[in-house]
Amino acid sequence: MNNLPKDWELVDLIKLSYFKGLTPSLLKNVVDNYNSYLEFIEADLPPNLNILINQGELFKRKQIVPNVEAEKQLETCNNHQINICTIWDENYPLLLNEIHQSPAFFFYKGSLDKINSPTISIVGTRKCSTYGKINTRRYANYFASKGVNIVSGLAYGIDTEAHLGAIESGGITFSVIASGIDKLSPQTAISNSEKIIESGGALISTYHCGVRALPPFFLQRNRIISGLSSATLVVESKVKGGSLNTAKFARDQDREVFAVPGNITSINSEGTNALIRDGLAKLTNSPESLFKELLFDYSSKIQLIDSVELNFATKDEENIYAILSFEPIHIDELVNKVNTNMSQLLVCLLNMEFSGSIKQLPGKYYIRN
Amino acid sequence: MNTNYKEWTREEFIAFMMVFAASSDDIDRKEKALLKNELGKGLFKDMKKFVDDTAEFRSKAIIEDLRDVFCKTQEERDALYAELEKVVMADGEVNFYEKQMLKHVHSLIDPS
Repeated sequence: MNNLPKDWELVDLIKLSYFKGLTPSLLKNVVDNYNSYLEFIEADLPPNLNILINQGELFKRKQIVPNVEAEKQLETCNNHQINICTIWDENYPLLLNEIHQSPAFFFYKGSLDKINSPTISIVGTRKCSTYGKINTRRYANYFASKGVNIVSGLAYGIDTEAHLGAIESGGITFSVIASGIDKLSPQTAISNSEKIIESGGALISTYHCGVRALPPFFLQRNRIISGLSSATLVVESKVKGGSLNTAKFARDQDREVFAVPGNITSINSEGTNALIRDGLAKLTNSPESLFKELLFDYSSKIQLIDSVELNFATKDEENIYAILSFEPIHIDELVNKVNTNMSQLLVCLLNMEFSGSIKQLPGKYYIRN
Repeated sequence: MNTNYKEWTREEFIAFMMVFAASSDDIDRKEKALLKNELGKGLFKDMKKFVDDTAEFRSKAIIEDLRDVFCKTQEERDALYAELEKVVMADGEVNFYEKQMLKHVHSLIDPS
């Protein structure tokens, strides 16, 4: 359904998006000041708009009329079940609308029904550690189970853990990508995107269909990730990671930034530790405390996975769970701490793995799940 | 086509670079014709699939790994970049996305 003012059509909006130098605010200005695309194209610009447009030096109003491109975009959208949300639509994200140069429209695939529920973004490095993965899942599980949306970028590592963590808790997750929605790669991203859509979330992109992701687009995309969220959580990031860029955008957008501290010798935590050290992010050490700090006025929809799975078959299992933490412990160390022999311990560990309360890591290390 | 890029020939690397550069947005008719003509239909088709299936950070790693193998001298790098410009400009114009792509590949093949 088209909620654009007057006689504007979606295709006209896409045409405008091909105009050089037409920033989102200028584009909105054009739509609000003219009755139709045709009127805009044929009119002499009034002084107020003329001044604005002249500020964009590259803008040559009548040089480009990208009708063919715009029609092609709509056709691709139809073929791939991609929708367009404009700033004039009721489901346009409220938080995104508050940021400077909020996009006049964006492409999405899936559902935006829950986009205005409380939302946090979880971002971090692609090459994350087990510590990063576990903590991302903890936060994503917890927040999703409280009905808070999780926004991330569908990259490997922390992003993927954030999306999947939200989904496994029955939550909603949105992925903002740096390419056209029809140009996702590699295959893992495609299959995860399907899970995101099936679980009630959506893929979001401000890039035209057919566009391949390139480094500058990732930075621009990060601005949308933080813009969709009331807070951004950085779990693990190197000093030059794109996640720090997201954190910077979040601060500029007057949104809260939190970071999970890490081992001071870990390269993956250099960025997050620096954020905390420099006072650019608040330290968070548990999803529960972060939730309280954010004061989401939201009651729990689903019981937390942790509390559901903490039913132990034996006293031994309960003891083992009490010894384990989110720091990996080797089986040799574990057997010394538990009052049982190795074969019994192995049986307990196997049962606990099956019940989902613990996880085995490579090299016979164990942690809580 | 060999999907293990570490075993590529110079011809395969150049083909990858050309298809990658053309893939900033949908490859249009004229760009496609030029690529098929330069690479042959088979290699173009295989390489397009490879490029489509390869994430951005992996493409970057491929270029960084192979540029010093196949484009050792400044002349070779300049010649490759000129080829890529030719592909991108096959339709007579360079749009925003293509400009970004040219900047990106230039920084990758000639980091100095």
